[in-house]
Amino acid sequence: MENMQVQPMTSRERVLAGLRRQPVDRTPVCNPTSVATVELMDLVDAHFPQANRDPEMMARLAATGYTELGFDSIMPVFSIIQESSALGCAMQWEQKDNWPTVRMREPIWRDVEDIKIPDDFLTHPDTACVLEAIKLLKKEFGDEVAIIGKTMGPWTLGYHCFGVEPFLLMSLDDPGKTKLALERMKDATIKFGVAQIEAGADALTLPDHATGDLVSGEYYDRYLKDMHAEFVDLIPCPLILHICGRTVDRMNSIAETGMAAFHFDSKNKPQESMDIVRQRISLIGNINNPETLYAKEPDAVHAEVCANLDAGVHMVGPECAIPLQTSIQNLLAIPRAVREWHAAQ
Amino acid sequence: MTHLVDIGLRIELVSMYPYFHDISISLYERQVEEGDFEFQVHSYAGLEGVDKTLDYVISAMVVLGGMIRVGGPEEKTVRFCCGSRHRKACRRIFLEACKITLGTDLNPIGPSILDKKTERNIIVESLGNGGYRVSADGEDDGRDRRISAIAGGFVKLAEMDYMDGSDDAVAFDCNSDHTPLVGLLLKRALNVRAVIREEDDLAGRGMLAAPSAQK
Repeated sequence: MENMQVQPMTSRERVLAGLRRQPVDRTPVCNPTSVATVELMDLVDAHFPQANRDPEMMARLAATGYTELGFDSIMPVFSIIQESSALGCAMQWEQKDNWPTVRMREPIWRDVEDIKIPDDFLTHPDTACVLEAIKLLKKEFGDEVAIIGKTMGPWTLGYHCFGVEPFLLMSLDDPGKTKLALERMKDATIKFGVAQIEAGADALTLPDHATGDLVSGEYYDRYLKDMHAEFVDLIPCPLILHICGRTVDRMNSIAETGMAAFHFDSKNKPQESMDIVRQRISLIGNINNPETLYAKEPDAVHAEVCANLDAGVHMVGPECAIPLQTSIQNLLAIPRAVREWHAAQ
Repeated sequence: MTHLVDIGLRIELVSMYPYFHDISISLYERQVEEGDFEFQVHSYAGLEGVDKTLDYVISAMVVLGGMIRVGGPEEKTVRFCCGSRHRKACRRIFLEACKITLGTDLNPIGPSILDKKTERNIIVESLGNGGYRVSADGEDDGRDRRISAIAGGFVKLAEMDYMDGSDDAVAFDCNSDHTPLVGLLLKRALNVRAVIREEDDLAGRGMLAAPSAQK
């Protein structure tokens, strides 16, 4: 919703306005997920895996999204494993050029009765790291740029802590037990989310990987829609829901949750997505990662940015955490394309 | 103030150079005024010793790939003698250069090799004007098939073209000789599938998968 009469905004103002679907001076370039790359790691000497575990490294690397790439947001929670590590999951930390993962073949929970959010959940090194990184970023950048935190939703925590197959089977065999499990796990989502707001986060990404390949739109309505709406009441900041994959079958439901934004995948066309949500929720996205950002050249990135802007997508950015080998010039192409598109209007 | 460089199109990346602190090293391509193509090696790592490391990589590209250094030592730039793009070949030269232990003596690789798979000696003979013919000794049975496969390897690795309906002779489209490059590629041409597998594996690293998509 670009309004030529809007005074020049700071990046933070722009993103917050975008989340409220209020007028902006230009479309925000926003990353609800990681834009870290191996080259940026080298630039600021903050490498994986340590940059996921050391707050100063985390903050330093995350800041490059704003200081070097020109995005309007900084999102320091690169991975999706911080909470699961704090819950006690076994981790595979990997190396500089790969993502840390949860060893889901070594589940920590087998039944609902096993679910426990430990007392030290927020002081565990991997959650505390995020909180400290957010504080550092807020101290450095103040109100200049939007700081976006991240708290994993209960479906994702279920995958990590029970294992994907056992959790999915439970959802098929015992809906009651599954709902109870989600109820118990959501405490982790809320606790971690609130703590990040207190640390200084302006908004939170809430990834909940009920992806279209395994989880139908009907399942979303049955298990998650009401809970996501509840998060809006219980976590006092704009929430950006993130679900990978093709999600047009649930976008209408997502739009009804009251969440501020939906970070959508390139498997959903910008216009079809905008037609479904009908200004009830902001859309952020949806530049393709594995084909466009990773493997093509800046012109291809430019074209996808324009497709989003032409459809009126509220904020533009990569569809998900970018591949760590993504070229910096492809990332620079995103804000450049946004500026050029607006200049041409 | 940005610390990013604008030196062309990045066409290849080594995420973790194993011989110097796992730094990332990139290869950039750009077209210069005369229409020729140059390639620059660069790293964002700020450690002492990075410059020397990049110099070594450049030297390896020159010696092993037959490339020519451009400009002064600070340029870290090379080109092919023909000035052509040969992008795929240049990427391959760069990747091979990054596989050599830092500081190892560099010597060009001749265009012949023992093919362990078939126990044949493979020779790639220059035909002039950028053309090369693959031949092999040993028994007749299976020889032509093996020669054809190796020639096909050159086509895939360096975007060479088959010459005039043959399946044992390939040529660079610039019509210039690149014999050191042929010698460098010959080892990989023996097993292109392994090269493709390696590329696919590398491409998969660094992609964040949703939990349900994790292998």
